[in-house]
Amino acid sequence: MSVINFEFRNEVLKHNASLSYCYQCSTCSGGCPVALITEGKYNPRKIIEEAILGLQEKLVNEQDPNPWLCSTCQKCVELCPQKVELTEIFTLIKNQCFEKGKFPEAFSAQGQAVLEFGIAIPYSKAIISRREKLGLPSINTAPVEEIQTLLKETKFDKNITRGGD
Amino acid sequence: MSEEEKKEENVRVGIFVCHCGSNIGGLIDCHKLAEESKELPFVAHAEDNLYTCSETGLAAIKKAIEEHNLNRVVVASCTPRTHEPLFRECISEAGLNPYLFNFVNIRDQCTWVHMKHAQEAYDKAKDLIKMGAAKAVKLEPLEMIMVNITPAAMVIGGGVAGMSAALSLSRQGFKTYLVEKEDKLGGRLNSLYKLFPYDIDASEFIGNIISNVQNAKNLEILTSSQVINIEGFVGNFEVEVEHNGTINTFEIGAIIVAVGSSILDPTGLFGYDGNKRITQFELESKLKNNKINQKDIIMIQCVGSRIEERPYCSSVCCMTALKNALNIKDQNPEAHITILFRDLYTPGTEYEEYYRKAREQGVLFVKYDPEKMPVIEETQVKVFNEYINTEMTIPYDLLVLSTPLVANDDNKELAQMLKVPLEANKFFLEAHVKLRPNDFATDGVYIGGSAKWPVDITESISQGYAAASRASTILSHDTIEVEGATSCLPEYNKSLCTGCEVCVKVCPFNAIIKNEDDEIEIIEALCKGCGVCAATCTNQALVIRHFTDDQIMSEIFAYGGE
Amino acid sequence: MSYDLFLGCVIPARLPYLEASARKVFEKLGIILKDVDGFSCCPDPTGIELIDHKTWLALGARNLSLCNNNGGVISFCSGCVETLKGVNYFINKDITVKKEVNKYLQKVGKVYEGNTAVKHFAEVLYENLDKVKETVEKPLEGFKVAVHYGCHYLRPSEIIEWDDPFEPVTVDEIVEALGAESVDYDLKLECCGNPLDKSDKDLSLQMIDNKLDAIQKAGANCVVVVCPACYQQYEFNQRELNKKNGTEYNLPIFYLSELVALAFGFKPQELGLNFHRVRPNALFENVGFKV
Repeated sequence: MSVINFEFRNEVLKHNASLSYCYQCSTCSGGCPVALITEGKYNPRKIIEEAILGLQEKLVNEQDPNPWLCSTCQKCVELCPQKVELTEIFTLIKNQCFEKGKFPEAFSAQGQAVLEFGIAIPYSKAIISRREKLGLPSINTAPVEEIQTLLKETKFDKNITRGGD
Repeated sequence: MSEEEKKEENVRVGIFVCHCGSNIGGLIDCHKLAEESKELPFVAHAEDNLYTCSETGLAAIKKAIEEHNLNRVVVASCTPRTHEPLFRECISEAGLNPYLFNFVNIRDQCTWVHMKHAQEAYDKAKDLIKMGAAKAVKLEPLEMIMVNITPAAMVIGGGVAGMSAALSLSRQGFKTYLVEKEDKLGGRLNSLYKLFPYDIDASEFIGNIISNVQNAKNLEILTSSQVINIEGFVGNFEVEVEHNGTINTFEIGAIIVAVGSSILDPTGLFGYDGNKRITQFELESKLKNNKINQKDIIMIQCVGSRIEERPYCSSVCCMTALKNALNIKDQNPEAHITILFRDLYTPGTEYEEYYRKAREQGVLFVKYDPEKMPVIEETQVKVFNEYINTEMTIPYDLLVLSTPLVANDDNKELAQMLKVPLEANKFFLEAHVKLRPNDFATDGVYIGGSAKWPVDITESISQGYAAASRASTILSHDTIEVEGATSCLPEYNKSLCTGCEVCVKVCPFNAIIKNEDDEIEIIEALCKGCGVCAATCTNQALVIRHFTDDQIMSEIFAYGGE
Repeated sequence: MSYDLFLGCVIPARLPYLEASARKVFEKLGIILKDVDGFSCCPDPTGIELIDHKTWLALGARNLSLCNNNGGVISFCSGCVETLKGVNYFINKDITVKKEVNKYLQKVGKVYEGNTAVKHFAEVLYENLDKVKETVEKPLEGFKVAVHYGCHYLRPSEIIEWDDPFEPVTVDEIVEALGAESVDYDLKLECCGNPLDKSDKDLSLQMIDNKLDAIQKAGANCVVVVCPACYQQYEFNQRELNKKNGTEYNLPIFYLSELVALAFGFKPQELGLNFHRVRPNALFENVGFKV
């Protein structure tokens, strides 16, 4: 039994008003490659309906369907006859999952690296020497302190350090 | 018989086989059909034409009548429904009585239905032509019946459809009577708040129309009045109208039915109590008079419609719900409005846009499954959401039920007076849903607005105008001709009639009466020549002109032999 | 012609040979790519954006604020391009977003107005298609190329504003300009599955399996990609799939810049093709491509 949650619904609508235009025609699910291979277990239309109804519990806590299975291929966005910006809405939901610490661990590793080095993949010794052999210049990436200042401002540092599932 | 035979000797039949482009000629050999027809009895001429209905084709008929001295014409082509009047007129212009024409349908009944069987189609066409030629031999000249027209109209019902019809007729210069049973004009619009899709104020809108009606020339308004009896036929109706106990009789040429519809009484449905759980119509009255202060509002669509007992879609409720939802949002943007629906019906670009606007304003739509009806509890509704396969609850402090428009209780009496039929849901039934949507099968009586079927205001007005336009095709003439191929009780058959009155009872047009001399009399202007009376007559006293026993038997004999 | 060069993370720090081929191609075309100091992660539109949209915006805007080339900024990576174009899109769409982002940037002494043009390297190649054709020294005859556009090169079209999201032509035309044949195949516009690697490895593998299967059935002898995520998905998973499912995938995966460089006459050795897991040597031999 789910109870309609107008507050959460309005929060999503405020973030992305295109949500309201969905009339559940299923064009998104029909074109979704992940819905195809999971035989509908992952279903973008369902996530949108749950967002329309403000079912925060299902979306964020139960993650049914699992929003992390979206491959971000953006086909649904292009196909939607009502121009609902599905991926942006999914991003909002996943951002909420992140704030609650409910996200796949792999995202944590990437985030930690950015927080620590300013880049997602630090340059290893082997790569530096390979770059030299290929005649490539050395790269001066962002000053780490500056990136950390910025991430502190957006509170990313706290959320990422707490970790995911 | 000998007299008959002698008559037949002078008969000269002309047969014209039409290719109808490739419709007929593409499948079967029309030239061969025409050539073979030349062998049939009394046939003096036969030819085939690419289009017999074209100017060339019609000229060929006229030329053949003159050259071959023809006195019967058979055209084998498409269908009499569309083309018989044309050919009748053609032979009439060539000096023959129009009833000496016989139509043989070899397109619809042969090359279309048997399009995959060319040989069988050919054989059938050949038989039909043989039969048609045999009947043509027996045809007799008939006269069209002339009827005088009283140039006055009566519109029954003073709602938006009736007023539109009355205004249209009076502006065309016809004396028009507008009969309304309530004490004021306007009908349902008097209780509405705003009108979709442009949120026009209903009172202002209907006020303008009423004032136009009141100021119209030639237009007499009869409020608090009721039609109690109707006699006569097209062009010559006598209508009795009762007003405060007095009865007045009006001479009327054409009648328009615009009595509208009623709203279903929702007692017993979804916990209706007229207070916390009300109808859309009641909500609209509240909106008109007060602000709606409730925060959680649920509307349920298809309450008492699209069910076994009342299987139709009332067509106006979806847009009404959207409109009222938007009006509430207008008054109180914070209100949570949820519409529980089965299917949303918002046809056309403007209504579709209105639906989009409602979603944009935050109106929430939840689809319910009629197999799992929403359950109404004191402060919440439980509904199964099949989109996510989940039962969910939605709180409410106002529940609004979208109940359908239903036929008026007194439709039956009016239908009997007018001799027109009602359909299964007791709405008035038009002559043909596509070909004659605002006519009745009875001549001189027309229909518009939601008396026929639930329609919105735009459609009511259109239909009001349509009915007026149809009525004016009669009223604009001093006299009209009606079909001459009617039922009759010939002098020589009068002794056969036992006066059993079965024919009076079976006639669907009330065209047969027993007159003051206690004799069966056919009111020819009312008769449609349908033949039910003759088929029922126990002593075969009644004869249908143009479809006499002799004519029909000649066709059967031509096909199967005597 | 000159652009600021945004390298991102994956190509320079994991697949530098792709960078080498791209730099060589642009140098040969006379298009100047200017290295800029101080870039961070773009950040990843299939990673950081999904967990924290505002952080994604802030870092992306900071990167863009470092660009000052009139020609705008170019990247070899579809992900970086989507992020940078996306940041522009959101900042210009909603003034409150712009204000919020600049509030963050102010803390590090930067400001971004949303005016830096962003281009994918294939976009620039396509704009110089005639020059590319003229520069071809060794046409890629016999190369039957399955073009994999990838998602973020095309979509969302409202942000990318480049090729058609469902009927793209640009990469096909570049490939054909090199003398190779672009082979049509089922699932051509489907996702490679790389982003799912973070949440469901099996699904991710299934998606690339389906793609490779369709490509093989269509008779292609190699694949070309324009995104390092797609590149890794195709390159790194063939052996794993063969082990797991008994398939026999052995398709060389080229970065578009590598194909262009080969056609321009660069040697496989100087392009670092030896770093590929599926070596293209057999292909070169089969089609008679002299290296």
